[in-house]
Amino acid sequence: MCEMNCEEFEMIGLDAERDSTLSGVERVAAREHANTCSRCAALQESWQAAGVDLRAFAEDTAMAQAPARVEMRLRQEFRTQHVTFKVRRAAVVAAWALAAAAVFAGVVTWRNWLHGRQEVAMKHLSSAPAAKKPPESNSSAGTNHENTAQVTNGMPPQDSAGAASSETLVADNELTGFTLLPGTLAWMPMTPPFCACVCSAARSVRWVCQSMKSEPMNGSRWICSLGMMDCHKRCDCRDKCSWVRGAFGAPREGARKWWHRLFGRE
Amino acid sequence: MRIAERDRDDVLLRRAARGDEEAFTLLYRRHLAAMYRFALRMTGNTWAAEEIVQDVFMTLMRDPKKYDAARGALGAFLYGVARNRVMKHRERLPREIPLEEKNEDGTGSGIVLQDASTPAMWAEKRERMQQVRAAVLDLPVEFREAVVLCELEEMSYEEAAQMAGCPIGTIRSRLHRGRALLMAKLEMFRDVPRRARAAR
Repeated sequence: MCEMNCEEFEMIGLDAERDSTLSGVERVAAREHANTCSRCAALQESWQAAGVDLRAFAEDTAMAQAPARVEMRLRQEFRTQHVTFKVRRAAVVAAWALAAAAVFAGVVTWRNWLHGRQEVAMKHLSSAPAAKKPPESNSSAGTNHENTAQVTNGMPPQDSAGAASSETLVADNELTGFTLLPGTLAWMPMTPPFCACVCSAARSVRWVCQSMKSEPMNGSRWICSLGMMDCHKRCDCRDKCSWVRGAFGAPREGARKWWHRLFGRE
Repeated sequence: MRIAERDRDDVLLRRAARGDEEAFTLLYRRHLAAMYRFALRMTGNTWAAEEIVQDVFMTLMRDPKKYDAARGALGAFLYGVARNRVMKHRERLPREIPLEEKNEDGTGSGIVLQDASTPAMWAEKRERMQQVRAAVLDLPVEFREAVVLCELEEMSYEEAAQMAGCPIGTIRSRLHRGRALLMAKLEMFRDVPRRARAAR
């Protein structure tokens, strides 16, 4: 027989009939204790009265319903959210598609550029022996050296042996190789106030020069297809003309002259 | 069997998450009354209860993955969310100045009292309900929650423990202390008219 004291009764005995976690023995013990202890019996009675009040309160509030506007708001929110979600998903798909197209275009462009670069390099290599031994068809180039000397007024003079053997390489455009120009253009003075290297041909020349690790032949000069002098400034070409070194092994220019060549004024 | 399977809470929730409005409405209607009652009894304020119910279902709508069917019933999950919202409401309460609520019948209570045969009985009952409501709302929130779940919602101790997220023993002790406080308050309310009558 299980006995229950007042403290245990307060804890578990007040609601013993409803508490399904209690065993039958505990329920009987609670009932026995309420029969024998007047204080606990009064407490239970008080609780039962409170329970009646609580049940009445529960019944009164049991019919309370949320207003229809709550449902309306929630449904509206549901629709908004799911429509927005669909739109957002479509935008994400479109963005990915665009990104993929951009990457594809980039890859194709890069491949073309790479291919073109190889072509230029190959042409340059194949044209190098020709530059060493000028073809007969270009025999007039040699005769034009005299004219060149006339045209290049104010340019540093070259020794006659170097001038005789000098040839000028010109990039026709980015993809084709170099062709020999008549020597008349070889010493065109560098008058524009800005760097001549802005023209793409000069850049191409510079690129070939750097990538092939080859120097122009002795006495030859890089020149762009626009007839401007080779890379001069702001292009980082290692063959550029500088007041320290001079152009392509040419005699050293003074700083003043170099400034004049660059900006057209002293 | 197939219908029962189709109408299970977690199935409906999955459908709702995919954008099925009908499934969401079904879920909402199934759990609305219990949520609203719980919120109303915990806050004693219809506006607050409305807001809490709305927040609960918004949470379910925006992040249905928060509910894990393996961990329990959807109702328990919703009770948990509602409980958190009630706590937040209580935290906010001192900063809010409540406006006087008026029911359709002109009473000031947030809860509509029903069924009173005569005006005198109606008045007496209304007064009594006001006292009980005040006593319940005066309880500390943990005790109030235990009283609301076990006494007003008539849940078993296990269910209440699951809803409150604590062991059965904790629920039992909270209920015990809540009852003691509640009885004292109700006794006090009963004694005030008696003392007034005796003084006359």
